Amino acid sequence: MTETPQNSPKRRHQIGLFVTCPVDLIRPSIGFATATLLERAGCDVHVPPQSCCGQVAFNNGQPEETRALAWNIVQQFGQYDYVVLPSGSCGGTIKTHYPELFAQDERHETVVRFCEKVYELTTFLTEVLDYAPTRAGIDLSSETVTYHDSCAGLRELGIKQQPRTLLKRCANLDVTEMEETDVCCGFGGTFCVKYSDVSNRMVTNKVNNIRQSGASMVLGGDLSCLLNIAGKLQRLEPDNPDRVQVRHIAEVLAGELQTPAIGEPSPTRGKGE
Amino acid sequence: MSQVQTQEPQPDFIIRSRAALEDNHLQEALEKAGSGFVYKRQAAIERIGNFEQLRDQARQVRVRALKHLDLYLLHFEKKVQNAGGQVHWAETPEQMREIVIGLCQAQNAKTATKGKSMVGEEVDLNEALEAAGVEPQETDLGEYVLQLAHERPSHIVAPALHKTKAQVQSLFRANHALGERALDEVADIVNEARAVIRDRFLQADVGITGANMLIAETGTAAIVTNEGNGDLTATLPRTHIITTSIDKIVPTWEDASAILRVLGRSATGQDITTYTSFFTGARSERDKDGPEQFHIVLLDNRRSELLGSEYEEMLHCIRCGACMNHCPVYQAVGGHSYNSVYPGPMGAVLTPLLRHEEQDNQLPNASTFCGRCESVCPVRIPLPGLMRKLRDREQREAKHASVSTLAVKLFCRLSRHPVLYRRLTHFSLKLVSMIRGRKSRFRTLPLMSGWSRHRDFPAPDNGSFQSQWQQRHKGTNHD
Amino acid sequence: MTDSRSRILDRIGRSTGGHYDADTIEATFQALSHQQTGAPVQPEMGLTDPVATFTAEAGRNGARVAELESMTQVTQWLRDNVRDATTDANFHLSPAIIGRSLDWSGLNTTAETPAAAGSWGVVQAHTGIAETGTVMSLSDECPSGLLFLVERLVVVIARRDIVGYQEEAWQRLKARGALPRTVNWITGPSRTADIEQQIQIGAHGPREADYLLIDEQ
Repeated sequence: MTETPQNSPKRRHQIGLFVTCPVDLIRPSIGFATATLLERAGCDVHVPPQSCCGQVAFNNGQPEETRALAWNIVQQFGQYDYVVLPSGSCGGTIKTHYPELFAQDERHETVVRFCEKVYELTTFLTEVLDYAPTRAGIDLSSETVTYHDSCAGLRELGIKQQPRTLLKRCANLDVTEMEETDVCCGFGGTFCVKYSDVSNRMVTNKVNNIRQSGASMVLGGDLSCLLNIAGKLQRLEPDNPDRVQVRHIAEVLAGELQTPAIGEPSPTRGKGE
Repeated sequence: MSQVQTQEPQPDFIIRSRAALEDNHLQEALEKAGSGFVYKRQAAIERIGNFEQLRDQARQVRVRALKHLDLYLLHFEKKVQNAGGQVHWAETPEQMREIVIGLCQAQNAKTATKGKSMVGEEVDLNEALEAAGVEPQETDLGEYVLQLAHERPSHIVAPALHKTKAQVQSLFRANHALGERALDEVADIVNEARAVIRDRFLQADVGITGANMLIAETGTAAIVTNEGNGDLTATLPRTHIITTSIDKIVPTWEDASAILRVLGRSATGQDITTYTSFFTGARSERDKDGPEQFHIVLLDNRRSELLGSEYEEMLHCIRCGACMNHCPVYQAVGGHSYNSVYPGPMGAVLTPLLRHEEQDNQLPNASTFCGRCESVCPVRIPLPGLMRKLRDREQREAKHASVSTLAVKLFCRLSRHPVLYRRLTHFSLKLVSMIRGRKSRFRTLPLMSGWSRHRDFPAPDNGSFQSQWQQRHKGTNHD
Repeated sequence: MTDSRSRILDRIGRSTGGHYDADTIEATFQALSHQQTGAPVQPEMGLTDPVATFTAEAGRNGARVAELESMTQVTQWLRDNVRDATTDANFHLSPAIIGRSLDWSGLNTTAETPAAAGSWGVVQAHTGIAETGTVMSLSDECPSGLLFLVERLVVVIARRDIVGYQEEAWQRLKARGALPRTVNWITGPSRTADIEQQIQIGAHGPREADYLLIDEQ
């Protein structure tokens, strides 16, 4: 390449969209919202065949399996200018941990260079594109909305201000902060199944903080945490139609609120479980 | 071929943590301790402008100390001897107990006052002293409460964190024959402990304390406390014995300052604890008081094996407790769930390394890797990373592959083939969608009861993202 | 336990690569400890006037600071303050204080072991550290036990003995020659938070701490 994409104004960024397994399998609307946002921001979006970033293996004592999956990703997505994920958790696995996984490997240099162009969505929109729509797609200024800072995004990738900045720009929304927004929701991958009762206590604390904030909606940047939070809110108040709604930030930023919130019944599909 | 266990074992931590969640006294105590430590630490570091640099400096001190640990230990030993003290080396907890008991018996000691020492707890010193006819008297208020309750510490800085005020009141009423008196206020309890323990300080034959740091430069042991019990223990009896471990070395006094500047702030949110005391050898003819005999017993207990290993950074730990104060798992279940002197994140790493017992494999797994521990560690120990390495070790050493391990491996093998993965998940989701009917979420999940016992799960969409994207972009996109 | 010692050191040596004999330890230690790079990082707290910072930090850590002019005013300060005390006060003096010919009239001084109620300790600090409002006492000047057994500890400190940061205290200490058995740093009254994390002032050591600042020639 003779020109880097950054200093060529005419060439559109070619983005490899890595939606992550939870979005792929459980809530595709987040993937489409992400694609919509990137396209509105002037990028071309590509979705190569994809599976797991390796985090499940990485956190469960399988470094060899992780390396195999990581190298898959590097090859599948290596051709794009940037790789963008609507997840701080999988983003953290790639950006923070792939280089250390290949530290003793001859492919280390390639992996490091790859990781430099991998971005979590809100960071990419604010720090690379400085995305600011000419007018907010939706106006949530009258809503009380709180935000859960997912752990890996917050502490591995430094995601804190980026989503708040974007919510202001895209939805005219000032986030109402809950207590202990930076404390883990208790998901933790296999943790929530293996240590079910401890996880339950943690998500109960989280849900209590959300409710005490007075918010009608809670947003986050990682679907897995949001599944945990939504699942608990719905279990606690199955019959309360006014229970807190749970959504991924990409859906709000893209203004795509027609899909029911996570785990909520579709108006056309009937109600409840 | 590895055998498959059909049922996941019910490991210790899970049973203990369940009991902890149902223990109302414990939950009340944990709630009262709550985020107090978190706020105090935050306030302390905000008062100064460069706490992150102080952390870096403290970490550098620990790195340098371990790099030449043997030299510093030898220098330390020589200086202690020059100052009229003795250094003893214990490879195992058993050896440490023998040495300490031998020292007490040589003095014909009947009573020993004790300052808080986690190494003393690590080697079960109290039980051994009692069996040898030396009556141990804990003097730290938290440790004293636990001695009355016959319990172990649940926190390395606040050992009785799991006890409520009401529980301490009943312990005092049952153990102190002082008749009717008010014990409602914390002040009443503290005053009573002060009065009861004061005489014992004055009468003890031996004083046994821990040490927070060993300064190689001069053979000096540093101890940080708030109550003053450590100094009364170290100063009044004829013999002062320190039980500590080889990793506590720092090269110089300036290095000790680097550690002190992060220790108090990280532990209790204090710029410095009320008392910081530096003991060098025995009383000389110039000294106005102090013990005639001074002994330092250094415990190894597998620490030397960690040096140069992938777990070496655990030896950087300065025992401030910030990791457990910030750990949502510890905050939910308390320290006893870890079944170790060392609970919380630092314990989840250290315990399996020091004990290497199968039951301890649960500890590094009982974490969501939320990373809050690492983010507050004053010497930047990558605690989640070390837990992850221990998970790797567990899998390497496992005699049987568990069901969950096999599931992870199966998922990974499938994931190596993204196109196949895309097809298979597409058809699976179609199937789920058929049986889902009009449900927007599930209340029970086969094979995932750990989830569905406590939460609902949203019904997936009609087909995966990838298959839907393919449908929408047919002919327009080659991806 | 010589065997334990050599086995432990052998295992450490496998990682550090160090092999030391008794003769080279000192020289190697000196060489290594002088490798320290750069000035130490000290807390950024706007410390320009050590006495002012000392006063502020000591106060924040629960000590009461009184500004006097000279040592001769100390006993009058004690007489003024003892009037408010509820029990009879017995004054336990450190040798340095005894060595000064002060007017102790009306004050009951004693050489006995401080008992519970009513015991006051009067000592002079070797150094004050502004960084944390800490006083440093040395066991070859003042018995360490005295600092802990009394109910109320009065520490006299000369303004010229107050330094900014800890490192300066180490320099003063090392300049004296051989270390005393005990170096005590004291910052405020004794305290505990072992019952439900509530801070309670007055655990095993003094319940009150007064620092009296004086000028000395």
